[in-house]
Amino acid sequence: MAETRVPTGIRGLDEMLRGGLLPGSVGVLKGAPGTGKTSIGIEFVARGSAQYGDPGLIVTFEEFPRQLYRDALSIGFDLRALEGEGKLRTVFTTPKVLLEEIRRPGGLLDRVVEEMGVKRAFVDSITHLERITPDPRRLREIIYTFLNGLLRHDLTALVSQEDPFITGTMSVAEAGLSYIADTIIQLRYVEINSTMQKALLVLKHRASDHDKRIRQFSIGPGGVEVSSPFEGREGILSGNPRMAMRIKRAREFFE
Amino acid sequence: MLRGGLLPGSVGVLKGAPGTGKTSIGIEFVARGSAQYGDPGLIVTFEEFPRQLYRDALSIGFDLRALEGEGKLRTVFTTPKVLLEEIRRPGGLLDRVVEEMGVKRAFVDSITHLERITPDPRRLREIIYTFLNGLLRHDLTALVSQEDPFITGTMSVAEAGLSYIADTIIQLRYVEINSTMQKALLVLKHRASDHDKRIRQFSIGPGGVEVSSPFEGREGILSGNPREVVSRRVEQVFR
Amino acid sequence: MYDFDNIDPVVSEFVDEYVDSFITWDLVLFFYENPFTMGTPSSIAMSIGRLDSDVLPYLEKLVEKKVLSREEHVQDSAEAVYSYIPDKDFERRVEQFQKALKDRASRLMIVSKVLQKEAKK
Repeated sequence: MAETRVPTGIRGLDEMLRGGLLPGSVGVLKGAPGTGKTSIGIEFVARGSAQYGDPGLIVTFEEFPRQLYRDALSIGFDLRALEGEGKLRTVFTTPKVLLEEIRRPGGLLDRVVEEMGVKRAFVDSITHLERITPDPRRLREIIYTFLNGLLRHDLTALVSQEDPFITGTMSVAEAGLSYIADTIIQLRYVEINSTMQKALLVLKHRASDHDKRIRQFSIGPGGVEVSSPFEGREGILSGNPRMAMRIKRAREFFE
Repeated sequence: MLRGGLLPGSVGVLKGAPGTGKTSIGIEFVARGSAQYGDPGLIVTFEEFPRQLYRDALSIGFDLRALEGEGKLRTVFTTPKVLLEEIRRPGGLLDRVVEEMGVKRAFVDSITHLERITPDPRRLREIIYTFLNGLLRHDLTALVSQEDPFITGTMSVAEAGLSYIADTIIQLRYVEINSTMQKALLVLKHRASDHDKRIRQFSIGPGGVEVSSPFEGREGILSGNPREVVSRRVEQVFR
Repeated sequence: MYDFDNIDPVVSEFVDEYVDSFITWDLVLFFYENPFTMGTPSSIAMSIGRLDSDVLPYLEKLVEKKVLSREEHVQDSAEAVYSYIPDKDFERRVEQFQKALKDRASRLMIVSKVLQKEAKK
C-alpha cells in the first residue's frame, strides 16, 4: 500500500515527511522573509535534477535568475550547469503570464513537461498571485487553477508563501492556499538566548504521518539541514519561546 | 464523548484550521457507516479532488473506491451552486442517491465554500438553510466541515448562523506542547444530549482517527498556547 | 518520424478515437480519476488548469462520443453540468492509456500523435 515518495533530499526533512512529498502533490513553504523558503525550494529542485533524475522547473516572480543562481551556489548547487545539461529550467516571469502559459495547450508548462520531462517545480512565490486580483474569493480560485495546472502530468511542486507577520492571522487568500495544499511546512525565526535561530514545523501532510515536532534548521554551503527539536520550550510557534516553567523551576530548586 | 454518537437526522459541524483533521473525521464517519453499520453514504467535495480523498482515506485504512464498487458509497466532486440546484430539483442528486443506494450518511467538505455563491450574509444564511434542510429532508445524518482561518488564536463566537442551526459542533485545534504540535478536539455543542465537556487529544493514523485522553492540568488549550496550571508545577518541583 | 508500430495497439486506437487534443487528454484523465464529478465548464477548467472557453468545445465532443452526459441547469449561472457516464470498457482503455504515458518512449509517440491532430485544425 505504501506509495513511492518524492524525496526532497534535504537532510532531516524527508524523515519528518516519512520519506518525502507525495507524488503529484503541492507543498507550501510558509515563512517571513529570509526564513529559508527559497533555499529549501531550490534544493528540492536541484537535488531532483542532480540526484534523483527528476528534471525540474523553477519559476521566480521577483528575484532575478542571476540572484537565484548565486543563492543556489552558496548552498552548493550549480543551477546553470544543470540547465546546460537540460535537467533544469529557471523562468523569470509575471504571475499573469505564467497563469496564461499554464492554461494554454502547448504553453510553457506543457512544453517543459514534454521536452524535458519535468517532474518537480518550485514557484517563488505564490503570494505574488495577489497582483492578479484584489478579490479574495477570485484569488482563491486563481490559486486553485494555477496549482491544478501545475500538477497536471503528475508534477510535484513546492511553492513559497510570504508570512507578513511573525505571528498573526491569515488572510482569506492565505487560508485558501492552506486548504488546497497537501503539505504545509512552516518556517519561523525564534529568538533564544539573544540569538536568532530558525525553526521548521510540518503543519500538514495529507494522507501521511509526519513528525509533529518543531525542529531547528540551518542553511549552509552543503544545503539546508534540519536537526534537533527545540527541547523544553513552549510558545515556539508564536515566536516567543519560554522555557517550560517546569524545567525552569526545577533548575531554581536545585541551584 | 457524544454519548453514543450523532443524533439521527442531525447535522454536525467539524470546525478547524487547515490540516486539523476535519476531512479524516468526515471520511471515517461515512466509510465506517458503509463498511460497518450498513449505512450507505455520500461524500460531497467542492475543492479537494476525489482522487486525493481516495488517497487520504487509504492512509487511514479505508478503501473508498472499493466501497463505491459495492454500491455502498459515492464521492461526488461538484460546485456549491450545482449542489444547491440538485437539492432543490426533484429527482436531483440527493433524491437519486437516497432512492438508488439508500444513502443514510453524508459528509460535505466544506460548507465554507457556500460563501462563494454570494457575498450577501442574509442570502448566504438562506442558502445554508436550504442546503441543510435538503440533507435533513432525506433523513440523512450529516457531518459538514467548516474552515477556521486561524491556526491558534481566539475562537470567533457566531458564524453565519451555522452555529445555531447545527445540532452538533466539534472544534478541532492545534496545540503546541513541549515543542510538538498536537491536535485537540472539543465538543462545543450536542443538542438534546449530554456530552463530554473536556478537551481531548486526538491523533490520526493508519487505523483511523483516535480521540484519547484529556489535556490534564493545562490552561489556555483553546487559545492554542497552554501553560501548565500553577498547582501542578508546584507539585512536580516537590516530588 | 516515429514508429507507431511500437505503441500498444489498444492505446493507439484509443488515442485515435478519443484524444484529439491536449485538453481532451486532460479531461479524460480527470474524469477517470474523479468519476462522480458533476462540473460546469468553468469548474472543470479550474480543475485542470485550463480556460473555460478552451474546455467547452472538447466537453461537447466527449458528450457526442457518449463519454460524458450534459444536463442543462437553468439557475443563475446558466452553465450546463457535465457528468461522466460510467463504462467499464472505457475505463479499461483509459487505464492502458495512463500506463503508456508512464513510459517515456510511448509517451513521446502519443504526444506526437496529438500534436499532429492539433496541427490539422
